[in-house]
Amino acid sequence: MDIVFLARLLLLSVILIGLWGVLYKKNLIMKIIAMDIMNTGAISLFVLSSWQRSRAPVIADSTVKVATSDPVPQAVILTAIVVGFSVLALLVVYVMDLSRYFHTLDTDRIQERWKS
Amino acid sequence: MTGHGLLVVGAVLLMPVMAFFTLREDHILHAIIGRGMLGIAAAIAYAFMGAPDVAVTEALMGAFLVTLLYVVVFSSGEEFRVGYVELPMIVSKEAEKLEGFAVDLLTEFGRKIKVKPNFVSFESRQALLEAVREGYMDMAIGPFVYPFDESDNYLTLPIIETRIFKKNGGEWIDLLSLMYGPENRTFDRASAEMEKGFYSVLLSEDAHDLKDILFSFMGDEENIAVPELKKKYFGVTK
Amino acid sequence: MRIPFDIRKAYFAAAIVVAVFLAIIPDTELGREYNAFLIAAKAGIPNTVTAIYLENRLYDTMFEVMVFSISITGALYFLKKENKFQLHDSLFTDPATIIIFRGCAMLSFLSACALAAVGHLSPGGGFAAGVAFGTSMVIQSLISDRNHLSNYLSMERPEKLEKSSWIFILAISLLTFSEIIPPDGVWGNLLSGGWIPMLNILIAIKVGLGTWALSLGFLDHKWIF
Repeated sequence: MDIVFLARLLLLSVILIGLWGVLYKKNLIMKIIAMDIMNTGAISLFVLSSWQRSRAPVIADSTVKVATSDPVPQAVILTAIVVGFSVLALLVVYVMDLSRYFHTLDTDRIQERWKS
Repeated sequence: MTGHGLLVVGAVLLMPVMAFFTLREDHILHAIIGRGMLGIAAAIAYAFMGAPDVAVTEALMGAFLVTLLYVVVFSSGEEFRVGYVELPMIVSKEAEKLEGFAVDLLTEFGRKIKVKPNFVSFESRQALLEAVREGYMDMAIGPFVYPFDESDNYLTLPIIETRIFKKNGGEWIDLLSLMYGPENRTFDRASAEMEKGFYSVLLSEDAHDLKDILFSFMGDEENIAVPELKKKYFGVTK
Repeated sequence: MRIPFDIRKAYFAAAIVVAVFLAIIPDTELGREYNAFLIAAKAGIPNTVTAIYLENRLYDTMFEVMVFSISITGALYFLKKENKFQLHDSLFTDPATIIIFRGCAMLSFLSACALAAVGHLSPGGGFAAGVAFGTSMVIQSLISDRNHLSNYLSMERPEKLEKSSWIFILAISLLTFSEIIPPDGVWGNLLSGGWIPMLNILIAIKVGLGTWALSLGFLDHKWIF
């Protein structure tokens, strides 16, 4: 079996585990942590697609052509890691406000108290 | 599979395992630490795949900053949180002020170790038990008795002796709930047998050192606060 | 509106179908082996990843930094509204813990400076440097007296610096787009590569101050119920 195929299956299972956590966990903070896990899985898929020769894409001598791993997906996903964290921090602040208003962190009880 | 490919697959194999065990935890702090472990596994996998820039950024951000920030925010600082369900004489709210035996006990305890208690009210026993299990409340006071409310998810510390009425069907009620609580009329006292129990304070898992300090505070011979409080509320001297 | 139980199963089943479809797609083999060499030759610096996101795809990076600053601003707006803790004393009073934390904060700050300064020569770059700087400030805030810290390290000047560094990033990006670049130096030198070292340092300042402000906002705020 191809190594890249096996690694891709494992990383897709990380994303599916994260999705299961978002749908089936009742606690709001666990939902946020599951979203973080999905984020990590998506980033890993990008880095997997740049794995060519498993050498770091840093050139030592500008006159010799060497083969390295592909730098384009790495550059694209590097900024996305930091931006993903900041958006998740904003979500945590919203959840803090919501939990203080409803006095609980459980989605079932928030649905009950929403009507009143 | 050649040598280097095996390393990459091994590092990538760690990631779903970490993700699965992170989401099966009950306590929030354990899940946050699991998120840090997932970040480290991801950084190792990126380093083996030939992406050092991404590996450094992911290790610094996903394993260091996120874990540090969430753990610091979640821990309590200079106070410990106590959840309560109302029960007259142990903890009750009269005209905007909390009174009761457990309230005074914990306030005195807090004054001794210089950490303030912060009282949060809950409507039902079930909600408070879940909050203690997940780690939001450090302690819980109210109608919790020693032999029947014991569980693996939290520790119990008995504070005062009481009587418990237990029926054959497994239903039980304690003395003060019987005298003052809403189940006064619906509980059939004749068919129940009486047992000895203790009202207790429930402590969550990450408050281990608080349990030891509280236990030594209660059992201290030179401490006159506990017998005084017992005499004030219940009229007993033991 | 109660969400019925069936919709969750439907979502999950659809996700499994999409995941199977994604797993079967073959990887393209379009001969991208010598990409890195061509990019490095054009930009004039050894690290090709930095050359891509600071010169080849600078448009992308500009707006990602903007998204970062907008989300930090939004989080700070909600964190400063109400429910402030009184600034209490330090969380840890154990002397061994304080020494270890101070050492970690110093190491983190030094590595932030190193990653930002030589980000175009070796792996690192502006984003990793900013995160390391923010982390060192969080650790320093944990162990010192908060009142004393806010006297000489208050958040007014860093906030102005953070907002103005965004303008500098925009200005230098426009200069790059109009091809006004300082001359390339010797390969592998500290000052080679046009505007790239300057942009690295500016991005490190921006991200570092943003995470520092966010962490201070989290530490001062009263948490759940």
